[in-house]
Amino acid sequence: MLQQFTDEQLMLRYRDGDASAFEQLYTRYKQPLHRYLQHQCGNKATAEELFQDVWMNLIRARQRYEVTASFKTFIYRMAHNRLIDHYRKQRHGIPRSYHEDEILQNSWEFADPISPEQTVSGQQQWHILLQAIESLPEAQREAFLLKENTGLSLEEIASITGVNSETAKSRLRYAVNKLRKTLDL
Amino acid sequence: MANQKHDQQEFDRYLQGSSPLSTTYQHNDAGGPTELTDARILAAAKSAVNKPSTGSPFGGYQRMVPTSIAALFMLTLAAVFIHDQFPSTPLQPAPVLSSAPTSSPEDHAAAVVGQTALNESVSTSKPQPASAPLELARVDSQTRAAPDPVTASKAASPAPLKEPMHRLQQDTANAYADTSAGARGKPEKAEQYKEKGLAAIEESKTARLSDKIVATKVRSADNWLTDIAARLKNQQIKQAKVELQAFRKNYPHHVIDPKRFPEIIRLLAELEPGSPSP
Repeated sequence: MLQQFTDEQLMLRYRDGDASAFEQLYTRYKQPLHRYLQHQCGNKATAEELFQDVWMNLIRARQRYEVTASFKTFIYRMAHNRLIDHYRKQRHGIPRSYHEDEILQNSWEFADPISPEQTVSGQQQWHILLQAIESLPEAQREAFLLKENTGLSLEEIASITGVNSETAKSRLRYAVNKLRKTLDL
Repeated sequence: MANQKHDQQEFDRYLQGSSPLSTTYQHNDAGGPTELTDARILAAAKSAVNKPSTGSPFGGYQRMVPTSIAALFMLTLAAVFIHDQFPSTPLQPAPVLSSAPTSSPEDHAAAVVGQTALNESVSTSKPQPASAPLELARVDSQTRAAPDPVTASKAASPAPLKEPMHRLQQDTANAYADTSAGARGKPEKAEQYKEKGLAAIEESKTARLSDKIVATKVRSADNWLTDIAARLKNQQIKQAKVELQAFRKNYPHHVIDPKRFPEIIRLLAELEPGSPSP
């Protein structure tokens, strides 16, 4: 029955005390959100912690929830903010790539590209892609992962990451080109 | 150039959702949170809903603000009511009961001189005989040393401060002389006024010393003995001796109860070999 509701309606119902609405929302989002965090951090344990924090923050903020944007944008913005907090607490702080609007394409080192002679299975190709994703600068990686895991538009990705559309587009373009070349697609 | 064009075309294809890159990424969507994480989050979500966050009549920030404002209003009303019912009486300065100076000697000196300069014309202290200040000074030095050795050492030690204090008194007297002479338009009498100013300072000092003696006397013998006994108990023998000597000077005829203060009797026997021991 709850499946017919939109994300925003479910969140409003949860705000008003319907715990089953939350379950429905959680079921919809847990997989892509977790994958986004895990591939962004490259560490399962950290991803697990961040994932839990994001949902806990959502639970705490439920009474202040108003429909001002799509729920998807709302929760991924929370996830992005938590991620930035996580980076801030790291020894090196927020990665440089978040501050650089001019993206240094040449400084990026390709993972070993697949030669035309090589034949790789789908599973192998996926692993190579994951390695290539991991070697992307963080900001580009995030743009790609948001696009893949949410299907959001460039404007929405820009809104989540707090940059303008051009920057978001530029980050995504560089990421896609690098990954495509690595996989020889 | 051709490469760039190709890249752009591929990127546009990707944005449209028909890129093999997306297919590869979506190929394996394994993963996800652990069951434990699932359980924790769902439990937290349920308990947050079941917990009444603003259920109690005084719970929640939104209710605290008006309650605080109402309480503040009531307090203000009560204060106004009390003020109307019991009109305030002018506050009197607290009398000085302790002979021990609590502030630094410089402050003390400044206070004495400043007060003297202000109150010179309305001084109510009775003139003392010429020998009185000397006698009182002797007693004062003893009483200062007597009640508390710590303050006594403070009061006794600052010999170097005597010079600045004296200079301050002189300055005050000079200022008094200048003002008085200037106001009266007789510069030739400045010396007389200066002397008068110094005399007023001396008078005021005398008055304060006598106040201190009274204050020392006010301290009851019993309390004093209890303090001395406490010092003896804490092994502060020297201080106890000093205090006991001061006590004997202030209460020469006081009979010390040997049952209550046997240790003081013993000390007294040491100090005054002729006195009866318990």
